[in-house]
Amino acid sequence: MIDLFAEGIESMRLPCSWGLLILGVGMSIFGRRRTLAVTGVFVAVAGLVAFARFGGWWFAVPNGWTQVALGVGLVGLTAAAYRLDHVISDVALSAYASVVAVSAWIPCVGPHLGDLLNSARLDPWPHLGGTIAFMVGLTIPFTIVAAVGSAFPGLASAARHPTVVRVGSTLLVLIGLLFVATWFDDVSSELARRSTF
Amino acid sequence: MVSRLLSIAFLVVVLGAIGWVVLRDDPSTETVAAGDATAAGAGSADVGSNAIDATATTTTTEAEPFPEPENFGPRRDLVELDGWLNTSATSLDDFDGKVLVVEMWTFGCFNCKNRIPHNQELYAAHSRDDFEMIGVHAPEFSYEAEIPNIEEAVERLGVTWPVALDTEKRNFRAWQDGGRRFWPRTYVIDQNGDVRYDHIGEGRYQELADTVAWLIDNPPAT
Repeated sequence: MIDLFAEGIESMRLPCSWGLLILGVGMSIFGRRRTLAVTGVFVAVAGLVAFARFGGWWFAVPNGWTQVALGVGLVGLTAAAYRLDHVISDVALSAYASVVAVSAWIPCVGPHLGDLLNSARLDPWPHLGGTIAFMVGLTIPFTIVAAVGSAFPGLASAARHPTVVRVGSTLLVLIGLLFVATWFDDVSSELARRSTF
Repeated sequence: MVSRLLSIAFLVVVLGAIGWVVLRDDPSTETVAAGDATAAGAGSADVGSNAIDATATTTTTEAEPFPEPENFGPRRDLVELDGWLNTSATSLDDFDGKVLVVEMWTFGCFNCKNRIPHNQELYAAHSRDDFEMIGVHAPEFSYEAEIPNIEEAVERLGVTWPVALDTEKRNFRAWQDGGRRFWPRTYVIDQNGDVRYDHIGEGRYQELADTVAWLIDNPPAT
């Protein structure tokens, strides 16, 4: 399990994960005083959706109209959560952003995740813990940010500044619009082309 | 106050775990430079190999012979391709009667690139056998779909085996039906056209080498 956690951390630097991470960054900035709850939900939902994908129960990789629909949903939910400023709307947005991120994500399959995927096609359930460990590793920066915010309330108050919240929501809306325009893949491609990995 | 202390404790644990992950020496995550087949040898006990001996059925242990590889049924065809590189072949049927390694890959994929030195080693080890390796190039990102970019990458990465250009990913999807589609994915096809090995991701290089060697030494009855 620690190997999967480590491979998740390693995957963070690879272009295949950037689409997922950029949504996590948006949610993390947007999290306001609920960073811990928002991040916890993002990571937990990411783990469950990844498990559904690895187990073969989740077939939809968004393209065309499904991408447009996901983007519209992201923009709408972000706007609503921004206005409502309520724990339920923030957590709902986090869960939705996580679903969008993981459904559009193409995992980098290193040796340990490869072993998990090869075994999971026969019997997925013993690999739920491993999948969660991988996703926790992959999303560890957000967990750290959330824990720092909770451990040091002075820093958290800076994160609640309206400008920071606006930056986070703008990032989420921007990603939503990229989905709506079906340009998300092109932007990911351009980033990947420029990467050195 | 309690939540603050718990958060600090959590941070210490997480940062400690990351430190441990960074500092530990995990051979299975070690990579070798693409194009440097002689450096290949990274891998955990079930992954790595320092040399692939084409004449040996098994190099992992002499006590236990390598078991007969499972038969997953007939292979699919490669259809509606955008061409081939490094070969004059025009169809997968042109390789009938050989043991084939068919790998779904794309040149920008980190884990696919990590497999290349091991593939080079396997390809060199069986250069005199009825064996062929075929890379099915299916792009993950749009820049990987441009054929000049693929040609440049094939040259740069030292991919000398035939490459089928599956730019629209039709074969990538058809071969990996059921929604679980990943790069890289490696199949071994026997002399009768049956799939005898199917592996997702990096690793298990010795298992792949042993499967190929076993099939070359033990061709199925036609």
